Amino acid sequence: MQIQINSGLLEAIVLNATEKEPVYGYKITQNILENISISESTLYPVLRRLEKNKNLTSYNKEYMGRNRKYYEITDSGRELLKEYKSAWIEYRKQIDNALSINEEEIENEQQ
Amino acid sequence: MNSSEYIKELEKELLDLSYEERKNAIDYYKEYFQDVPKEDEEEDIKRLGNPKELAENIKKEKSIFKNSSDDTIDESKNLNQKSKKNKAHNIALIVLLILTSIIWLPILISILIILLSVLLCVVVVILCIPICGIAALASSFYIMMYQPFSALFNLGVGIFLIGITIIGFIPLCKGIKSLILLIGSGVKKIYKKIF
Repeated sequence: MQIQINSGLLEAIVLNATEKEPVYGYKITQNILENISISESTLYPVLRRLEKNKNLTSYNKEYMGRNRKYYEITDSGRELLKEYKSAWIEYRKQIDNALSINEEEIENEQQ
Repeated sequence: MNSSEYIKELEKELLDLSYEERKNAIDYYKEYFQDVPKEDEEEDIKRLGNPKELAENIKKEKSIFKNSSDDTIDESKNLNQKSKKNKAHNIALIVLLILTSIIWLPILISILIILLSVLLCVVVVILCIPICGIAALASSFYIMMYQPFSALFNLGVGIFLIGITIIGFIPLCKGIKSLILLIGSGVKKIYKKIF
């Protein structure tokens, strides 16, 4: 069973993928898929939204005789990522409490 | 389905988007597929889902582009007020347009006619190339016996012009297609601004 990721979390994941250095579309997808399985078809819309809201900027760069579009995080994007991260920590605590999750207990049961 | 077929399908599904949005999405996926290693292509296309689903996902996002405010309740209230104001504004604008049509209609018509005649000239000049080519080729056979050197010259000119026609045909068609699309989206934009 898999829990659906909402679009806010997806924004945070994409922002995080561009945080260290500017990256191009395919690389962003690969980086994200290394950690979490999401539907690739939802990534472009999120990238486009972040770009329109000026949380990401893009520039074109030539690579082997063709064009590659690189996405770079902006200051407001970094700010947004920070907010998402702290919101996530808070949210995770709430869900853990609501589901009465105690990580040690679950681990003991599995053993 | 390979990636270029996929892109074509996707482009069809995105036709109701604005020219700019459609181009942006298509460019993204074209580039994306260029980065996918050849042996992974099939699997990657499978993961993306069929073009229709992908297009649906993109179009869903489109609505978020337009009103990016977080407070949706406030937003809808604002929208209501705005649309009421807009309606009154639009009626006044239409009345004004009709009243002033005596002045701008003749000007508009003459501009359109001038544009059309320019277009016609261009078409005629372009059409001349293959016709001249065929004529030169035909004449070269006709005078082959009497004036072999001129015939040779005509033959060369004829082949050259027909060659240009063949080479230029596909880019010309593509150019015309994108021109029509550009005009279409331009008209749409103007229409949206007024109403």
